[in-house]
Amino acid sequence: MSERERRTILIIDDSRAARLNTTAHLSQICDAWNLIEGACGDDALARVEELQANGIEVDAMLLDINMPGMDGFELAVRLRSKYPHAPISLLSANIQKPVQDRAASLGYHFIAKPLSAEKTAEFVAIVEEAHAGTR
Amino acid sequence: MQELAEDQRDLIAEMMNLGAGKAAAGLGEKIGEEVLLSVPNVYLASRQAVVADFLSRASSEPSRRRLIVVMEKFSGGLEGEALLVLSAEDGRSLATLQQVREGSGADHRRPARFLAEIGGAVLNSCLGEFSEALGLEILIEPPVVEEGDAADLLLGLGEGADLLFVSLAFSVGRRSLAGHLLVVLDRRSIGDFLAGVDSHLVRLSCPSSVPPP
Repeated sequence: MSERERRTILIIDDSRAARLNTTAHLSQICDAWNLIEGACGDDALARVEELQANGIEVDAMLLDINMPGMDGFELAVRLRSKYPHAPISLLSANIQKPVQDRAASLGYHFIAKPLSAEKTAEFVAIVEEAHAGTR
Repeated sequence: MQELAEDQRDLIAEMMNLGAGKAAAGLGEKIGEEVLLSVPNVYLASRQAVVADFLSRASSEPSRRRLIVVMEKFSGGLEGEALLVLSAEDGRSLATLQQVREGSGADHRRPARFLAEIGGAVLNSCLGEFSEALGLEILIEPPVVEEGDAADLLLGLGEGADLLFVSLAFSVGRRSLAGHLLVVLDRRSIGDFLAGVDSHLVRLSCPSSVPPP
């Protein structure tokens, strides 16, 4: 059992395979984390409402950029207004520099797909660092 | 006609996404523009259905009736053809972008050579994702570029292969250039490919043992 504090992480990606990969990687490092999945922006907002109704805060978010409907950038703006201190990582196979620059300029961490053990560890470190900073 | 299961469709789309994402980064650097990628649309269809789809679009936009197709044949673990399909007008605009980007020092090669180069990079990247994720060795022939009427070019595709899946559209910057990637597989390869996809889906939940999608 992990000794890490339990965190609630929102994972939004229209690809089920990508979500499966993400949750499997995160579970290997942080098996006690509460991983909440959604397949699109509307899903994400619905999950957030449910969590808020149950008094659960989201500690960090992993959002795919290229999704049907609301893309990851638009979703990130909406989620940041709800959780201004929670880190947001944008995950994408679109690794073009303008996309990475846009993410950085808006204060989001960019992760190039596919997610690996190393990139997952980097994300976990960001989450823990952000949490330590808000104590 | 065989139908794809939702999970199969999803994993294939993600593999195309990864391949196209890498290729778009290279293409974007060459032409100095961001390449916008659509969410992949994956399905199995008959050759005739895909041709009819292209022709119906071409009839509503006459400028799209003439196409440029970059094609790579592949064999080994999978057999078939991968194609980058552009309207002839968009193909030439794409080649011009690269020449403008390189300025007076540009190698003013014929557009076909440039399109073969970028088309080959895009297609190799997508086929490479299939090969890596599914553990299949795929031997890829050099790209061939053809220009012609949509019906003539597409009806000649994949002889003996009446199944194919179609994927992803991309556009370049504000110029509304658009292209499509198609992968044509014969029946045996479709079966092998889907078996590989199913195996990979099972392994995905154990990331230490397999490369990710």
